[in-house]
Amino acid sequence: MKGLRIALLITAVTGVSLLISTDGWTQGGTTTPPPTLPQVSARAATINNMPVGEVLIGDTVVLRIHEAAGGYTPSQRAGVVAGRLETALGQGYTVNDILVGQMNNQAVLMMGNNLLITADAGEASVNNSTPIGLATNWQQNVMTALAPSSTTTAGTTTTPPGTTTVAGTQETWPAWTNPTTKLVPIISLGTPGASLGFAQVTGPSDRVGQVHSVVQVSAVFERVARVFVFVPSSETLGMNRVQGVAVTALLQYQVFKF
Amino acid sequence: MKILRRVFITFIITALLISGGLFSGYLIRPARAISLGDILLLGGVVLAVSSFGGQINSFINNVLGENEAKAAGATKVVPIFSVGRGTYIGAAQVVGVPANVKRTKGVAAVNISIGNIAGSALVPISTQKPGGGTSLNTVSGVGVSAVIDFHI
Repeated sequence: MKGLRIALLITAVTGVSLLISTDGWTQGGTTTPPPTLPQVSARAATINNMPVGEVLIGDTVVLRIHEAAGGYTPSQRAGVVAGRLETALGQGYTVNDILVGQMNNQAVLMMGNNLLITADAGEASVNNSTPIGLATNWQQNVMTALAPSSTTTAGTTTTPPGTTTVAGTQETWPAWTNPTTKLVPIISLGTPGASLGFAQVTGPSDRVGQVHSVVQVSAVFERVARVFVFVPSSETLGMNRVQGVAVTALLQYQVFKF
Repeated sequence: MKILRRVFITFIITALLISGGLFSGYLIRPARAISLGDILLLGGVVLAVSSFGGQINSFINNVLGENEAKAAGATKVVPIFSVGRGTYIGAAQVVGVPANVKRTKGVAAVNISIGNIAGSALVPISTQKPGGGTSLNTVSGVGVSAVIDFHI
């Protein structure tokens, strides 16, 4: 009997010690801080005395839902959509992955492979649009809200996708309607080992004509991936990006060992 | 006798608490997020790109942003498939107009080596692997802005 009591005591003590150590394990473990993601939220609102659900990215309303569906109220639907959007962003999808597609013969807004919301006929009718038109409108709203923003002296402006502010001037990426190619030397910045080489750049002829070199910048991602970034430059020994031009071939002396 | 037993039990409890706290650190590994290295080991380049492509893309854009050299076009990270070796050899960030970048699913690399000189033609394609026959399913209007080597 005495032996049993001691055995029970030992078991209890071992359990307690494990619990204590588990606490230490959680605190002692190194955790990677989550990447900063756009803040996605949903809220209920009233427009013309009608309840609506709104999905917001930051402070911007990107979707407004008027119709109930599938047993969900508009605000509940907004909550579901916000959750899906947040999940997709957490999976690494970006502004470039916002798509309008069709699923079960209905227009849908997707992020990568994730369904965000169906643009049904009822919702389209409320917005005086077609389902595809409404989904496209939502797509534009989300893309605009997710696109990188820049601050100017007049205030904050949001740049649409495909446009960025470089060195104070807003530049766009031109379509390659009549592309040409050119071979230019690669100038290496921070790359280990030998880096003598040439790059073939491609783009619109007027832009390709401006390129005099490709600057190669090296960086390490999470200690398991080395990233070699190629910047077509209008300077032979400096970095001044020529927009609209990209690399299509590399000729190098023992730099990459895939 | 009773006091002796209590002292003994107290001693046992103290010893177990200390040893439990000490050894659990060795027995139980600290919790941590699944890293790119783990994914590479488990699923290879394609899974690594599908899981971490967005983060790598943002990382590259941040590096370029810091150097005031960010590309104005849409960007995306896709796997590189070596046509000669028939396997995935890394990843690439492609850049171009959004519609064409969206269509791009991979980059086909045609490698040529002459002595110590290595050449690679990097062709953005609309599939993860080049199509059969002579077709590469190329995507026009898209180029490569970065190459990611996973063999550090």
